[in-house]
Amino acid sequence: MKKGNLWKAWNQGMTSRQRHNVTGYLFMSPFLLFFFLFTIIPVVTAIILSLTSYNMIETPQFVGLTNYRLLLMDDGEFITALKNTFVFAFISGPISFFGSFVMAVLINRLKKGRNLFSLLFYAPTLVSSVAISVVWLYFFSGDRYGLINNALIGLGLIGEPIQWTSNTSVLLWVVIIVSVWTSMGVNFLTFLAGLQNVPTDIYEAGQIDGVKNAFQELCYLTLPVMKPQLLFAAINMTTAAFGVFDIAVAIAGMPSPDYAAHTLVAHLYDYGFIRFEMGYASAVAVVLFAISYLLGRLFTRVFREN
Amino acid sequence: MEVRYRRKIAFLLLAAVLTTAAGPQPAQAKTLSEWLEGEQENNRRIVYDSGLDQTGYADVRLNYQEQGYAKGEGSIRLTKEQAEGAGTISWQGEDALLSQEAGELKFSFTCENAGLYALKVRYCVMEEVTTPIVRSLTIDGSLPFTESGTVTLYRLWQDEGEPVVNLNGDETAPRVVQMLEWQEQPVYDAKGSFASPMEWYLSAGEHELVFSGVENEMALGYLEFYPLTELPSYEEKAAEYAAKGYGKASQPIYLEAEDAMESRNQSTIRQICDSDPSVYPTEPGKVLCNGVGGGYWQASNASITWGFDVKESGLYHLAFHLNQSFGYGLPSYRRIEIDGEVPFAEFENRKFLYGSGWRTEVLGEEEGEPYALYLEEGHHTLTMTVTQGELAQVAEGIHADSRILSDLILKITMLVGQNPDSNYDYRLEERIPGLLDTLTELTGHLDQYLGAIEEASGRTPSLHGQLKNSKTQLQELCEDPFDIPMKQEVLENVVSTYGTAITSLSGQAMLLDNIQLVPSPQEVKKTEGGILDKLWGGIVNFFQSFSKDYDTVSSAGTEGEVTEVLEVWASYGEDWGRLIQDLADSDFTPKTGIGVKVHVVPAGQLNAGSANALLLAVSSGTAPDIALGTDTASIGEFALRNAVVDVSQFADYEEVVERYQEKRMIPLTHEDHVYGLPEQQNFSVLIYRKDILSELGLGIPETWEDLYNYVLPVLYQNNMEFYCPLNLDPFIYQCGGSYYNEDMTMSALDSENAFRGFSEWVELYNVQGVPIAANFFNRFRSGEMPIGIGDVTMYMQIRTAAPELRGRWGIALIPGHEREDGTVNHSQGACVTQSAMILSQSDKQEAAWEFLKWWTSDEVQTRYGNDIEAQKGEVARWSSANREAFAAMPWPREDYEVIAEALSSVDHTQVVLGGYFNNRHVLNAFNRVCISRTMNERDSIEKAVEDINKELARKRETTAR
Repeated sequence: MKKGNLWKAWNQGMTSRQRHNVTGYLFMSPFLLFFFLFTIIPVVTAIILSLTSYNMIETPQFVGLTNYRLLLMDDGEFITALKNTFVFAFISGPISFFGSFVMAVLINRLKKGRNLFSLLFYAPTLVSSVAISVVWLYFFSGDRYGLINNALIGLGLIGEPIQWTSNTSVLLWVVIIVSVWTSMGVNFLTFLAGLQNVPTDIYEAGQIDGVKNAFQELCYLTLPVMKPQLLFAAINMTTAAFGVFDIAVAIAGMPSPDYAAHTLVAHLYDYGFIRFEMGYASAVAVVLFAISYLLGRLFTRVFREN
Repeated sequence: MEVRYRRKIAFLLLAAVLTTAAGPQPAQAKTLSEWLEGEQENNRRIVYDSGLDQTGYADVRLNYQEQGYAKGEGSIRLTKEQAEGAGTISWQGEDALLSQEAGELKFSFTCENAGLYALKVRYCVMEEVTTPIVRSLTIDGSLPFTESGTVTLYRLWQDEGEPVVNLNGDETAPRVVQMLEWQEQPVYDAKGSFASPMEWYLSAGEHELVFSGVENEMALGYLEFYPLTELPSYEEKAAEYAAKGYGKASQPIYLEAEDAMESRNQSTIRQICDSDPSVYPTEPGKVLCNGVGGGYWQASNASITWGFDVKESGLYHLAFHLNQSFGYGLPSYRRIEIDGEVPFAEFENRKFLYGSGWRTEVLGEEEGEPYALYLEEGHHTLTMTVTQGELAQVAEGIHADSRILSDLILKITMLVGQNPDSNYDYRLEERIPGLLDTLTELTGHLDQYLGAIEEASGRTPSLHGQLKNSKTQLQELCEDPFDIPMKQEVLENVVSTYGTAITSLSGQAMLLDNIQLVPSPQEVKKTEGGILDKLWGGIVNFFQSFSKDYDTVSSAGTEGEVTEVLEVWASYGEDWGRLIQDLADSDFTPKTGIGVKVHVVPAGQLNAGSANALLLAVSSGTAPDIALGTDTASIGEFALRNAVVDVSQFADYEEVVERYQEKRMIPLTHEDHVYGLPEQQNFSVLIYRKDILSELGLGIPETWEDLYNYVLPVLYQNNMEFYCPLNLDPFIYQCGGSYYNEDMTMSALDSENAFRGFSEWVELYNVQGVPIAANFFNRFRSGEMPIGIGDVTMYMQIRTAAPELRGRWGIALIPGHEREDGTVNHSQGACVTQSAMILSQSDKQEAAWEFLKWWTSDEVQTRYGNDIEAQKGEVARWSSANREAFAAMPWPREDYEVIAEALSSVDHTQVVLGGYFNNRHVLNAFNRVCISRTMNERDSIEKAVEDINKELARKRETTAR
């Protein structure tokens, strides 16, 4: 009988538009459920925990804004981590961004082998970071027989092998190189898709209007049309850069020597799991969230569609 | 100024400069030779007798043939009557002589008929250890050949009962127990290179034989010299059978190889499970014991004896269901004996060719009829022993070539160094006489080896390809000797290939499923699994992997009176965990009525410092009762957060502490509470190459000053290096410093003594030139680092994985600092590595304490150590923290003295709140000074101290809240 009522309500109690909306929500509900469980709830828990002192074994104790105060005023490692992360983001980010854009443009022009090259370029993203680091550490081994060391010694450029993973002056660069290599694939796909969706008639119009070479085509025609993709890639790249952790740990260790490759997430992990201060780690997470959000808004402004 | 004054001033300046140039006299103005004299007095000067002057048995045997010696006649038995002044003991029901590890027995005897005699020994083992008994035999004061100094007598083991079935329905092989029975065995050479027992030449007249101990003790019944009789060929034997009119039997006999074993002479040979469906018994999805051998039946002279009853006398053919897919193409050889005697010559070194997968093979001639054996009614035994076969000579040759090439590499390194100039012509072919000739000779040898290997295997095994590659590399170097200094690693690769070749050639693995004695070849049961069976097995296994609980190692056999069950998490491998479970089930549960369920977790899952299993379990309230194999520092971290039980509160705690040497409980202590019991310990010793140091004329440095002043310069002059792993502990403790102040509230790294230790540590790398990172194992083998500091893992690795270095290396105490009273402080720092703890979430703490007491007791630790070594081999040596158990492991005598002394000079630090920061910042400080070179020592340490103190203060504040 209840079912009959429901059926009646469905058929007669709502307008077509309302029915449309309810159907929409029903379709979204599985995703919404997961989103709620695995994104909203952890974020809220993190905000709550950031106001406590919690060592994961005993019950949390409320301490108010002490964690934030210590974090922003008294934490030298946080500043180092912030510096490292920004260096990371603003160097590897743009390199990865422009690199993958250039590759997308080049590969887009290929008649044959486009799929093959796309796969090759995208493959690093599919591999786990541990496997990647094993291969790259072979290149960057600190032993005299490591590939790069051996090549440099053979050419006579250096006398002693460079300790790539212990020397703080080169460590961050090693992580940047590997990270760029790994992260170019995702943005590349976005750009490729964007390029393929550019309507071809604007090029004809451009020809008529006096566009002289391919470079001008790129600047004045392609880029403006691809603004949405550029925005997406920029935000993607930023969030990824702020979340760099796996690669850094696999290459530099946790914690890295003298905090040379210590990123914000590494700082979070350090406090959370090594130093038994989950409350403080949650505060770091909230700060990280705030920074990412602000940067996202900034990019939206820059790539705004008007 | 006037010239007079100027001259005076110039004169005074000159005088000042000259006196200061003479320098302040160093406190110890010894020369290298004076120091070496001192070392000689203290017996620390290395004198190494390479024994290369000794002739090997191979050469002696050729000599016998040249001299035309005949076999002797009659047998000469040496019993206690011929022994001078030796006391007798009564052992296992017989009177015997006691042959000890550090003792010798002298026999005087008369030989009537000159000739060649082999040796039989009647003996009985006396200890529960796993390594064989080794003796040295000299005749008339001299060692007739090198192998006479390593006469090896083996122990016998048998299965203790049936395979154990666990809760999953899987079987595990039963434990092996040693058989304490008298045995009479002929003596073969220890490497198994020769098919027949070794022969000694005895001239007519009186002789004195000294039988001295090398390893382990035994009870000796008698030694008997007897002449070897020549074995008939199969044709002759068949003719003999025909003459006697033997007929075929009528009933076949089938033996399951894993069931019918009576004994074996290596404890690692156990029943194994092979998942191939053609092997009997087999069940998809389950692990059943259905075969024997494999990787564990490949060492020289390893033998298995099967027993069976014959109901009807007659002629039988011998067939096996076997799998010889080991060695990548190389054949395996076995000596086959019936009732302890080889029936005919073809069974002395029977070759089993490589084949992928299981096959049923009837033993016979290549193209002819199968061999027939005559067996009388009654009980018989079949023994199969690993021999090297035809490839023994190749292995010997490669071994000798490897020595020659290693020496050559050392000479090259001494002249050229490790960073040679690629543009300089070192003219090695002139400076090292015979360099090119030697390389050419080695290439010629390789040709011979390649031919022999191909012929013996009937195919080209992968070893063939590797040696061919080496040959090409050597040829290239011969053609262009200018390249040799830059291509030293090519030569090292060739040596490494030689090493692999020796291991491959001496490993003769084979798997056996069943043995069949059949009257005619047609009655041989052939069980071959089809592809469908294998596919089905694979599918069943795949689905099982979703439901089967693989980390439970407990067996189904624990019924009975069990009051409570303890959850134990052990971060050891599966076999280790299973052994703990077995011991608990058979020993602990019956005694106490407390059941135990052991779960194995991957290494590191019990440590603090990452989001791992134990941390998450404690967080969510599902912690186990006991955690075994936890890193000692992690126990401190958990304890500070009230997650671990203080075991010092239990009544019999004081008795338990007696089991350990001093200072072992300190790393588990915090403010008078003790939070666990140590399980394993590590030691740090100086490992050195006797041959190289003796050639360089060096002794063992007792102090660090000796090392810096006398040893390192000589090493550097010869382009060699020293190895020291990164560890601040020894330096801090030897200088009398400590990591924390008295109250454990602040770091004391900037105090005078500790800072002195830190300075010395960084200067070792910055000033003395010791490399920061190096592969010590490889460089020790090649001789580039003939001396260095290593721990128990390095010690066992060199012992087991570098057999060519046997006798050429030794250990000593690490260098120390002289104290005021003249003695030397050799402290190595911390030694306890893994410990056990009881979690406070457990509601069975008393029962858990009973388990820990039992687990760390002398008997159980000794038994565990022996069993795991019996199962896995010497490389799995259990380095127990329990004093008695550690001493009971079969450490070689001379090494054990050093190790015991090293373990008596240890120092530990207590648990400190925030202590994890100490290690991190010490390494950071080191990095800043030595690797990144951003700060000097003082600044670096000050920064480290500042950071550590800040964290300590912060942690105290957080806990106080």
